[in-house]
Order: sequence, then structure tokens, then C-alpha cells
Amino acid sequence: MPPVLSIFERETHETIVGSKLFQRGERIAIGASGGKDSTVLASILKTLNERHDYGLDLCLLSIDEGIKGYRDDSLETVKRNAVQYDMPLEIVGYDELYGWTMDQVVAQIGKKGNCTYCGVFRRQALDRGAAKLGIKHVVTGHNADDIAETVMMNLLRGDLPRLARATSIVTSSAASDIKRSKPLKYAYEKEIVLYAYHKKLDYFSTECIYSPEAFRGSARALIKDLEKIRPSSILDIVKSGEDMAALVPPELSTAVACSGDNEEAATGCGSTNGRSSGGEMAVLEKRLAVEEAAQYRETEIVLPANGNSLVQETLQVKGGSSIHDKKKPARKKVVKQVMGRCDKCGYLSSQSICKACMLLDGLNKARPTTEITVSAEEEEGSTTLMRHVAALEISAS
Amino acid sequence: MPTSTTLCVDCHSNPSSLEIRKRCLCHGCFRKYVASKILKRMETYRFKNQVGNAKKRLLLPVSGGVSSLVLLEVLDAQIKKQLDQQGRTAYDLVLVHVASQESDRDEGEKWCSSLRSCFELHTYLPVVRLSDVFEVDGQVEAALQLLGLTRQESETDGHFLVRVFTSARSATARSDLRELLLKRLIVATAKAQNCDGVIWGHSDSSLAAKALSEVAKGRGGSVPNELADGPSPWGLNFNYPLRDLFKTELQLYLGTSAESVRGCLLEHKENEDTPVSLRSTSIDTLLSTYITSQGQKYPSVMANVVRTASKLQAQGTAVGPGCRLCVMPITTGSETHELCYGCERMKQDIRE
Repeated sequence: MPPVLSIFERETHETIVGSKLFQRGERIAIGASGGKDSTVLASILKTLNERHDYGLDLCLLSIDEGIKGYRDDSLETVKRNAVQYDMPLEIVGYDELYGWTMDQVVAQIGKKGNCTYCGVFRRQALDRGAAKLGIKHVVTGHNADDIAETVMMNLLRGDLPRLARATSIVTSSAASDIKRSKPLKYAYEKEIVLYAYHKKLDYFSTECIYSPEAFRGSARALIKDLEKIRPSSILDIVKSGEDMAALVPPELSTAVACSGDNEEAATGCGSTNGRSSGGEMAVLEKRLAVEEAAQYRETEIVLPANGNSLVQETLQVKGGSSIHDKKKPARKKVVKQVMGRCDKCGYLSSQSICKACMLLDGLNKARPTTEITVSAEEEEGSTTLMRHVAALEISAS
Repeated sequence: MPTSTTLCVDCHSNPSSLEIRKRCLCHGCFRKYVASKILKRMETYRFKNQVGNAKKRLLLPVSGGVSSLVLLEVLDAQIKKQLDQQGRTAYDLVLVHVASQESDRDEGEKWCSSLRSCFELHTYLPVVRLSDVFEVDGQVEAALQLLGLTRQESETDGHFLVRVFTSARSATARSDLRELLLKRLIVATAKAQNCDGVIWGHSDSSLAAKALSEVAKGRGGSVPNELADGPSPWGLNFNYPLRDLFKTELQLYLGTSAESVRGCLLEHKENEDTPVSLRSTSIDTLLSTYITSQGQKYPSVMANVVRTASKLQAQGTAVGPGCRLCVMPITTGSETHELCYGCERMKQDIRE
């Protein structure tokens, strides 16, 4: 066995033991997409489980999003993996859970924004699949590159709650009694590719045919360039992410993500491709710019001199002061989320209706009686953006 | 672009000539806008916030680039106004210029005197060189020893500095070292001059690049400390009054400044070390390019990076002794480390 393989196995073993990821006799579902990460995860967990006698009961859990030409092919790979690794396989489909395949969602809402649906649906689907199997622990193939990307992405889009969660090796939330963990958290993507290559693993290497989101695309390009300058920067970013997670104000970090709104939606499906609206970056840009411009449209209020002095003091209104001279607004109070159950589907949620049901509601209301075609204009817009993202020239080339 | 018939949204009388953050402004109101953004961040040093009669002495490092010139121009105007209206000032500025090259001290002095003729109210320190850090900072050599860098007998400050930089095997470690030494030099100078704080000229864009760059170098834990206004782990107050302004806005501002001020702009020889390949780029340069290029399309997104990172809680010095080199809190385990993760990482790229 080439030394790279044994080093990689030893490191993964150390991560598992060091973080006390598993308990003897635990049943573990491996979130399997057929891609390299989850295939390597399945292979190495099988190897380590036998070698170090973890005493784990492993099985494969796959989600069928219903994307023709992508998921149907990758599921064939997972089916072969199930035979190769002698593990039971459970496949949960979006169509049976939600009545919609992703192809149908895309036909309805277009290529932009569909990744939000996919992410929200997947989170629930994995949990439901695990629940169906009576399993309380799902492991996913997220690697160090994915996590570094997520750290950068959440900084770029100003998402501190997700930044707080992005780096933790185990995430359990009140939104679900099913634990998630990432045993390959400290593994470079390059190591995973090497391992898959040397072990001649059978995996599916096409990425999702729908668009990656701009933020992830931008963050990924950045990570790739950083890796060229200093390969260790991927793990350095993971370390930075861990340190920053500890500094996220508690009122933000304890806010529990509602089902479907968890980091999964932002971290990625089986392929490392992104899954949110392609125009997300432009949307945030627009929102921030509008918010800023709106600050200046506020009307200045000058209270009469005999007004309530307390009010005057609280409002800090100064007659004749420049409109730029505004006091910083008080920090928004963060409402801590309380978990309950979705009124519709009974799934754990912080809202009365869970996010998946909300999205479904919208979809079902708009379900057309006639088929909708994506207009040429919309197509053009989306590809232009894709090109922009692809052409993010940050290297000095 | 706004048409000539659009009136400035602030004064409603002059035709607007600029579109700034989706608002059409005339030149005069744009200059007010920039000044107000800067002065808002200087509120700590206003008369009304003064305790007793304690006038603050603030060190202002001026590189001669766009940002530091705009900052100086705005603060100078504020001080002049205070003198006119009250006959006294709320704070005094002490200006220091670090020569860009070790040998450029005379040129630096020449530039400083032209700056002084524009802004004559302030104290100007003699031009310093980076190698002066060994002179003013009593702890820096002990800190460098932790990186395996020890001064040889009878080695001059200048030679030792050159050797420190040549021992850095990557552009990233080199720029990391330069930043650290520069910061130590400024802080030590401020302390030697009995200054209460340092006023830094980082624009929003450069703070954003810095934040991302620190993250990429494994220094994520010190980002909130690096960005905070107020007491810093260095034992002095740090302020970043340009934190709400984009670099492009500062450039626009300087473009509308008086000829004499614009004449003080030092052309920085940045292009000289523009690397030929990505591999020889430093992480700092990469991130700064990234913020600039992305900022053209998504300026607010890039501005939001600083706001987001500033929401993280800065760690006080109470958590234990900081890193001996960068003074930031150490988060690596419970072992008795003297260097933080980021400095340990940098050390790996340093070999004699």
C-alpha cells in the first residue's frame, strides 16, 4: 500500500478517535451521493471499522433529488458501492417526500434560485431517511476544502450563525434529533482524490448540472488560488474558522437553524458544487446598497423645545444637525428561536410552518396547468452570470 | 451616470456630478459626506468626550498614499476649525512617515517638509526606517529569536533587517513579517512619543482585504482585535476613521482636493514587486486584488465583510499572555505556547 494511503487512513482514524465521533454499537448512515468524497468516506470507514474494531453498523443513505443525467447516474454508482462494501442502501426521493423532483422545480422556477430548494429539501430528506432506518447519526463527506470554502463564503455574505457552525465536526441542532458529523473535516480534497485513485474506487465525477451559486463560486476560486500560493492555507482557514466560531456572539451562535435552513443548504450536496441561487451575490449587493441609500432618505424629526425631554434624549435628535450625523441605531435584538413542530408536516421547526413546507406551498400554488418554458432572456442572464463567476480573475495570470 | 439636470440629493441646489452609493451628489456635498464619515469615527476624541482637560496626543502614520492624505486633510480641517471657533484643539496630531526603502530617508524628509507646508499645525517626527524598530522596540529581537532569527555580532540594524527578510522563503511570510515589524515600529514610536493612540489610514477596502487575508493565514482568531476601534492588545487605542469609505471614494475625494494637497501624493512603487506568477504572490496581495476586483462589481458585499467580522467578539488580553510576536491572543490548546497559530505557521516559511 502506498504510504499516502496509510497516512491518510491513520489521520482519519486520529480525527475520529480524537473527536470521539462514534460510540461502540452505534448505527451510522453514510450520506452517499456516489461522488468521490462520500465514496472515500464509505470505503475508509469500512476499512477503519474493521481494522480498529469500532463496532459500528454502517449503511448507505442516498437522496434522489430527481435530476436526470446527474443523479440517476450517480445513484447507479451508489448501488454498486453498496455491493462492493457490503452495506445496506436506502434511497429517499424528493418526489415521494415532496411530490416534486428537482427537474420539475427547475422547470417551474427557472435555473436561478433552485439550489435553495434543493438544499432545504435535502436537509430534511437525509433526516427523514435516517429516521426511517431508525438511525440517529449521519456522516457526510465534507472535506477541508469544503469547510474552508464555507468559512470564506459566510464571511463574504455576512452570515455569522453559519460561520459559527461551519467548522464544527459534529453538528446536532434542536431542529433534529439526528446528529451530523464530518470525519473528513481535516482531509484535503487532494488527499481524497489520491486515495480514491490509489484504491481504484468506483465513483461518479460529474457535478450537478444546475448552477453553483455565486458566493460559493467566488469563494472556491479564491480557495484554489490560495492553495496554489500556500497549500496549507486550506487547513489554516479551517483553524481560523474554528477560532472565529468561538468569537461569534452567543445570541447569534445559539440561534438554532430551522430544519432545512441548516448549514447543509450552504455546505453542499454530494458533489462539491453549490446549491443556491446563482444571483445570490448580486441580490445581496443590491439589498445592502438599497439599505444604505435608504438611510439617507430618513426624514429628520425635530421635536418641539417643550417636548418630553426623555423622549428627546432617547431619540438623540439634534435640531439642525447634518443628516450624516446620525447616531448608530441600537443593535437589533436577536430573538432566540424556540423549536416546535411544523403544523403541516410535523417535522421539527422553529417556525409554525417549516421551511420545506413554505417552499412547497409556493411551488404547489404556482403549479401550472400548462408547462412553463424558460425564456431565452432568462437563460441568457443566467449564463452571463455563470461566465462572470467562472471568469473571476483573481490570479495574476 | 446622472444627467446634468439631476440635482444633488443633499443640497438640492447644485447639479449632481457624482453617483455615490446610489445617491447623486455634487462635489461639495460629496466632500462633506466623506468628511462626516471620517469625523463620525473620531467622536471619541471630541471635546464633549474629553475627560477633564486631558488633550489626547495621537500618532498618525502617513505613507503618502491616497488614504493617509485624505485622512490628514480631513483631520487637519477639523483641528483648524476647532482653533478658529474655540481657540484650542481636542487632540494633537503627531505625524510619522516610514521611508519606503531603507535608503530613502532623505527623500522622505524632503517629502515631509512639503507635507508640512500644506498642513503646518502638527508635530512632524523625523522620518523613520523599518530597521529603526530594533532601536525603539526593546522586545522585538527576543520575539524574532522565537522564529530562529538572531542578530549576529556587530551586525547593523539594516543588515539584520535584510537578513530577516531574505530568510523568509515565501512572499507571504515576507509580507507578514513586514506588516508585523511595521506595526511594532509604529506602536513603539507612539509609546516613545507619549501618544494615547494611533490613527490608522486603512480604508474599508483595505480592512476587508486584511480581514480575509488574516483568515487565510490562520490568524482568524485575531480578526476582531485587528478591526476594532478603541483599546487594542498593544496597550494603545487604535482607530480606523476611514473604515466606512471605499478606496475608490478616497481617490475621488483626493481628486477634488486642492492642487497643493494632491501634489503631496507619493506614487508608491507597488508595481515593482508585482509578481510574475501566482505562486510568488503573497496571500496579502492576492486578497487585496480579490477585494479590489470583486469590489468593482459588488462594493457593498465587500464592505459588509468588515462589518461582519467586526461583530465577532474581540478577545481581551485577559485570556492570558498573547503571542510574543503579534501580541494577539493564543488559541492553540493549553500548552505553553509563545507564538500563536498564525505566527507558528509563518515560522515554517522562515529558514536561514
